[in-house]
Amino acid sequence: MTQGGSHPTHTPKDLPPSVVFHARGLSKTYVMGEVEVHALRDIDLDIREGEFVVLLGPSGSGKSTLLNILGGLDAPTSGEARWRDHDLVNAGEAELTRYRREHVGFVFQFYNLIPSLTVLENVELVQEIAEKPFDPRAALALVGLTERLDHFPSQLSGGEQQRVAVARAIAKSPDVLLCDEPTGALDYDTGKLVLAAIARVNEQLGTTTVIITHNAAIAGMADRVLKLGGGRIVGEERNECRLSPEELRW
Amino acid sequence: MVSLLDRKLWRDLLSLRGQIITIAFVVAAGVAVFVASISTFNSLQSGRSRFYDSARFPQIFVSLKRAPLSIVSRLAAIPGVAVVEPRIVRDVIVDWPNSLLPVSARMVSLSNGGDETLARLHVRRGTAPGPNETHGAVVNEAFAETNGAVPGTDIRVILNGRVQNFAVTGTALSPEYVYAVKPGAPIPDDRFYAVLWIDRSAAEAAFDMKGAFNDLAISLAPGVDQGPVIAELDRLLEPYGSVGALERRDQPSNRFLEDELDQQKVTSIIIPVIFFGVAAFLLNVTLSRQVAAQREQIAALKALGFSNAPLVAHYLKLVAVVVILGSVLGVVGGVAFGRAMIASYQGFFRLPTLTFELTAWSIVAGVGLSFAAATLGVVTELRKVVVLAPAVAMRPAAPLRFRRSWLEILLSSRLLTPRRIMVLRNLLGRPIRASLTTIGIAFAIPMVVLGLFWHDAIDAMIEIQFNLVERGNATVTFPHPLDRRIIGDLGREPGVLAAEGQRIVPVRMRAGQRSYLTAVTGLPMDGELRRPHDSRLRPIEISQDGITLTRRLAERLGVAPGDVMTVEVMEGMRRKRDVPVSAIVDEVLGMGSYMEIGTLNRLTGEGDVVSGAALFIEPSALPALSQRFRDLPVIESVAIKTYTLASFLDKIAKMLLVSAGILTTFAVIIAIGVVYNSARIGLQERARDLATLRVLGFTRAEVAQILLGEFVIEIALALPLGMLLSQGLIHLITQFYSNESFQIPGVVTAGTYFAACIVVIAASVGSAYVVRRRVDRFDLVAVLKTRD
Repeated sequence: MTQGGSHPTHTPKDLPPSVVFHARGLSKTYVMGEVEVHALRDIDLDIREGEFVVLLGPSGSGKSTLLNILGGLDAPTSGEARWRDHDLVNAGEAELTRYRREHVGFVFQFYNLIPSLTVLENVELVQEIAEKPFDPRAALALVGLTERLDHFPSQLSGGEQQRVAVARAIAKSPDVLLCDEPTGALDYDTGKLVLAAIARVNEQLGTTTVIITHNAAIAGMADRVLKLGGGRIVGEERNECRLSPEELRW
Repeated sequence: MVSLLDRKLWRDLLSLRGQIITIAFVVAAGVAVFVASISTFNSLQSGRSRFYDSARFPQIFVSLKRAPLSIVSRLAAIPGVAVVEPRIVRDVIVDWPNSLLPVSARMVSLSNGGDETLARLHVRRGTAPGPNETHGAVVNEAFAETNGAVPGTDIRVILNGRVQNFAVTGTALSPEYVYAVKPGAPIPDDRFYAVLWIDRSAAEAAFDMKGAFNDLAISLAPGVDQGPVIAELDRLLEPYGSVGALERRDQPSNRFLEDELDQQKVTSIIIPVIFFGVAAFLLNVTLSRQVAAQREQIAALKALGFSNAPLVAHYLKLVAVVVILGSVLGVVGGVAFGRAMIASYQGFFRLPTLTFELTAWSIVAGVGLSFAAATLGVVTELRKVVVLAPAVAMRPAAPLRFRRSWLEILLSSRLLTPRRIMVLRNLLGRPIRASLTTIGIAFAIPMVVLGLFWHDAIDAMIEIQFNLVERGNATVTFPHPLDRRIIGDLGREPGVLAAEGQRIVPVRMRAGQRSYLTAVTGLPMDGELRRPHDSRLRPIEISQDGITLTRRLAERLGVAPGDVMTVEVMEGMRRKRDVPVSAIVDEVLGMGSYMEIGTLNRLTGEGDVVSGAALFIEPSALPALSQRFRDLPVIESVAIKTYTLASFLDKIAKMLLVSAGILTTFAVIIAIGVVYNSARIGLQERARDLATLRVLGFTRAEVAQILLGEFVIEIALALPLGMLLSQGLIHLITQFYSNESFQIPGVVTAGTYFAACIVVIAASVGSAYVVRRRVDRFDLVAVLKTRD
């Protein structure tokens, strides 16, 4: 992990085989009227296959912007960003859609389940576009939901809905799971259940996992914690020993 | 100072502009038809009334064989009679150079140089011949314009085999010939029919009518019941060969005008009702979405101390903007539409002034009706605003309850992919809205069908009347009944392949209290060239002892097959006989009746005579033969089917094109209005779900399919429903529009339905495409952070 300085140009074949995300000199500037807001400033980042990374930072630190660029939802103002051989900076809309479709699983802060579909159908939905789909019932079992599969989202608690969202994210066997404040709308106990589900996915399926959160306690379950502030990476910690979600306290 | 709420209104209007404009167009179409139809009706009516008043249009008309002028004072003494104008009227043949067919003309005598006490002429060019001016004639404007007759043009009239020349002194309009159609002809043809007014002295000499008359125009004192007057006239004039007095309502020109006015009334009601209904529904859906989306704002405003009244007024203003915008467009459109209609009437109805006059109250009423319909459409939503408690509204609205539908149980699970399930449940989750959307789209179909239907109806009318009923290609009439042997002579004319005699007798039919003045057509039993058909288009064999009536005539007389009615012959020996009704037939033109020719001749007591013939002529011989008929004194008039049809089609083609164009535009407005608004609302309601799917990796096309899938189903259901609605509406309209001149067959061809479906599908696809492009502009980043 490097910060600032010069940015040697890498091509995918130069990368160590285990690096899946590769970003150099990423900057994002929003122009709002006459004011320029620097959401990201010159970020360098490598994420390895199967790694569990927590991006930690307060509101406005740039963590959401970084996640959006990694997820192919937003483009940086300058710099380079790649997912293996996918160029995420210069890709067109169709290419980014294909990237999300083939490689990324998203978990949203407010679950974003489809209200007209049952639990099982919400998970089956992504199977339609998956190349190597994962059995929806197995995905739901992995997040601890084996009952209430015929219920609609409005009949579930927030924690249950978020676990369905995790199951939905992994049902297409993504290479990377991007979670945006997955416990932000949940209470303590429910939040831990959801984190346990995400940890299980990372451990059992080896899915590269990135969580953004402002909850520092979650950092304990990651392989690596990147602290963001003012659009920069201001600190990096590596956990020699990952905590299980049950051990987290906040 | 613009209030806070008005500023909010302005912003809401801006963000809803697409929907506001499309709904305003729907309102505009309704207002336009309403304003145009009412104004056209009033313009026609006032143009007619002005003419009838200034020209002193008579109330009663009598034609007879011959009566001395000395009895006029006796007629004038009948209680209730104001003015009696005796005239000499004769149908003659005009030798018009280069005309394809003999030109028939009606000659009418003038007593006072056109400034008659009744049925005064409105001279357009030149003058009318004055008293004792024996060689001048004023000609009706329609004929003059069509054939290029101007003052000074010579007109050669054939009188009893002699040619007499008249010089055109001018052109004129008459209230009796606003719609000039040759007696017995189904439709007017200005090329071959003229009205000539000559001075009484000339008419007396030409028709040997010195001191006599054969036609009367009569006006009544105000408030007089015409029934007893007509009875007395018939009694007094019977010895003089009167065929019975006609009241104004049965005067042919007036009847056509009345029928047209009735149709205008129907149009001004039916079509606006559809548009106001669709606009009410669209406003309801739009406002319902708006209130749902602004729940929290409404709550916050209430919490800040706003009472219900300004909030309800705020949403009503939104409705008012749509109605006002639509009304302004509608009035402008209505004036243009009305002008176009009046312009197309100018060729049909010859009135001195026929100009489009905008009826002020129609604007007030049209706008009032559209506002009432719109308010009715949004009343449920306004109630929601009133009952919404601030505390309740601060919480998110209860989510729509979804459940498995019966349809899912019926459909195979292989067909039911989650995306299709989404489409299905969204549709069935709001069954009322889905039904109204479907019905709304469906109503676009009858609009196109109504526009194109007239082509089908006219084709059907032509098919029935000119191919099934009249199977010959020409008909001739004789000036008076002739011995049957004339048919054999005609059959030997070069090019005539078949000839069949006909006998047309003026009669008054009476059944109980009802009576009707008409003519019976006598046909041979084994006739081939004219065969009446029943409602299922099967030929009817003419019964040997009864009378066959057209449906309209039977309805007017209130008789059914098997009933006996009285037939009073209005010429010759004037016999009166009871005759059984043997069959009822559907014919598209006129109010005819048929008898076997021998039976009819026994009824009149005239022996074996004919008064006309149906001919089948070799097509290549038609031009030469029609030239020859012009020179045969025994032939009074000739009608050749193809010429009649060509003139008719030519006359109405433009009118039909205008109405088809306008109605198709309306259909497009409805389809766009409904589909665009429903799709926009669907997009607003499901934006979060659809953007979520985009984040999950679904392509724009896949997401658009989910959004628009509903419309595929709704349109698929709307098309057959629209066809059913069309059939109902066509049935209704043919009932209203059919009159004594025309019976409109309610026939719609597959081609018309196909065209209607294509128009509606194209308009729907177009508006769906506009909405689909919004899917491309989803803010995918925002969706990650928004709570439902």
